[in-house]
Amino acid sequence: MRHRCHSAVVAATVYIIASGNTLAAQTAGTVDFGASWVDYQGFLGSGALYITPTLRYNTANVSLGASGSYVVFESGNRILQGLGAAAWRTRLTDRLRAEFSGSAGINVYADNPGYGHLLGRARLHYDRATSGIWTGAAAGQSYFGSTATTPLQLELGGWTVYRNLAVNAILMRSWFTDTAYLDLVGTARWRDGSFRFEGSLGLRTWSDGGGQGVYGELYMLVPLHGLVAAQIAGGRYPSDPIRGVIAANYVSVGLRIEAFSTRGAAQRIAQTGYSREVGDPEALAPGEATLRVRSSSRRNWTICVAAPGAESVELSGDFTDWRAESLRRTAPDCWEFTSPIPPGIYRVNVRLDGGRWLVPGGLRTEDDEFGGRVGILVIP
Amino acid sequence: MARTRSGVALIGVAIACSLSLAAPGEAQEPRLQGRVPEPTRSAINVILDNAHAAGLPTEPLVDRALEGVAKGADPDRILAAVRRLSGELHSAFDALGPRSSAAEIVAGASAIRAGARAEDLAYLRELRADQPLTVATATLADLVAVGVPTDTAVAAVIALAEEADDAQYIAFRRNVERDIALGASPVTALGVRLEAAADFANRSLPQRPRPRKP
Repeated sequence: MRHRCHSAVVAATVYIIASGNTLAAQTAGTVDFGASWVDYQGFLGSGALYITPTLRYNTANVSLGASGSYVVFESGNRILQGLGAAAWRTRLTDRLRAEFSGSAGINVYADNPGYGHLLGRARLHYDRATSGIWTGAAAGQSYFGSTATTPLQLELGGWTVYRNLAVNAILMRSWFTDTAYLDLVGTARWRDGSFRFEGSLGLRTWSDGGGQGVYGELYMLVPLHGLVAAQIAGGRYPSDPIRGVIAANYVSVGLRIEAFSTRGAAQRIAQTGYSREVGDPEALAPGEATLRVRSSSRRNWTICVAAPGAESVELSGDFTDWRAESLRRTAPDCWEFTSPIPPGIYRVNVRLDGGRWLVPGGLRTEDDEFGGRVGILVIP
Repeated sequence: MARTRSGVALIGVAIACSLSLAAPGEAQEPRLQGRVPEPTRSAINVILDNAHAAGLPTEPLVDRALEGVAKGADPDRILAAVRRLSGELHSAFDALGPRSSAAEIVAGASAIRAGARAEDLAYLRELRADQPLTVATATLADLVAVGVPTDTAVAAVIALAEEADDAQYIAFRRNVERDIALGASPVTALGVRLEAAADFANRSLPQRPRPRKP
């Protein structure tokens, strides 16, 4: 789940990352808080209170940002989010810039298993005085509980600035396991002193499993007094599989307090569209394993463990009286064990190369009551 | 009255048998010998005997003890784990009834551990009186484990109970987990897949989980 404020933080942080050479050095800390009405897909609408502290540090070539978000719903359920991002830019020629950035975040709702992500991104920019284009790619890891996937994203974008108005557009193709989709997002941002107005409009299409449709958001920051400003936002945003965000409609009203700032002049270029990354599916890193089971005859079942790079694989479980059984290698990364196993539910662990016992992917895990985890295998 | 006395007598016999079975030194489980140290082994044998007398499957209790030994747990922890599982098997047996298979009782115990209530299992048994419950209850536990609220998971499994076979339950669970891994909320994934299941069966769902506030 995502909150508008979090969305703004992501956008702002990434914008900073993306627009490096237009920024003078600055350090800024803000705290946003307020109330929202959120209608998440699949849930009833609900009121919520939020608080979002943010810290940013920028030099000409380096940007660092961190933010957190704490949201409490009417039901008493809570969302806790955290995000950290860093970027480094270097000029290749007069017009060409390279940019390397990374971000890491967590997203935990109620007592559910949390989402996490760790992403790296590279972009090549071609900039002119008031416009530019870029292309880039992102990849990394996205986690849901103990399940990890590798998202992949390719993007093409452009921006232009006219007086106080900055406009950009981005085309992103995303892959996540066997899902793929295309986002086309346009964003406009207008600033006058501390007053800020933003709007975005997006289309998700060419989608295989990622949903489709139109989405958009409006955001307004109105200075009130000194370091205090009012924020009003609303709209609809799409799901973000990487960060565990589901689509929602929302309206939000709150305050922003600028706790401190050493801001120089900065002309901002909105840079949204960072919010969706995608995944590679079943690629396993060395040291990881996944388990599948298939019926090999009327009574026999074959357990297949995929373990790339392993030299030996052992299995121990209820149906082996918890004695380690060596699996037979049947393919470079595939190990098998065949046995008559009656229908039922069994606890099982596997071990690669004599290491620690672990729960392979593909199984539900639970606390084994002995200080570790165990996988639950169902034989129908 | 005679009938009542007869009943009392039967209970008396049952208790006597139970006590007799529970006596130390009786009905030793050979797989524990040499692997589980005394006096933990004797205590586990008593639990096994009592479970056997109550009609519960004892295999999962032995497995739990062996798992603890294999993982180097201390004897008190092993005994506590076996005792807890015994209690869950009792609860599942009471809910599912004496006609249930050992696998169903074990699956029911797993669902109870995941958060299902005994009355949910009893209702599921009622709906699937002539069909195996192992996979349905395992699906319930799996859904709860991936973040679906327990009452919603129970409603979903019950909604499918009268029509779905084991393969459909397995496919349903796999699809929900996949959707969640793709970023859908557990409740959304469940709703979408239930809808698809209903469309596939060309019928309306008897009990679709109602949306709730986040």
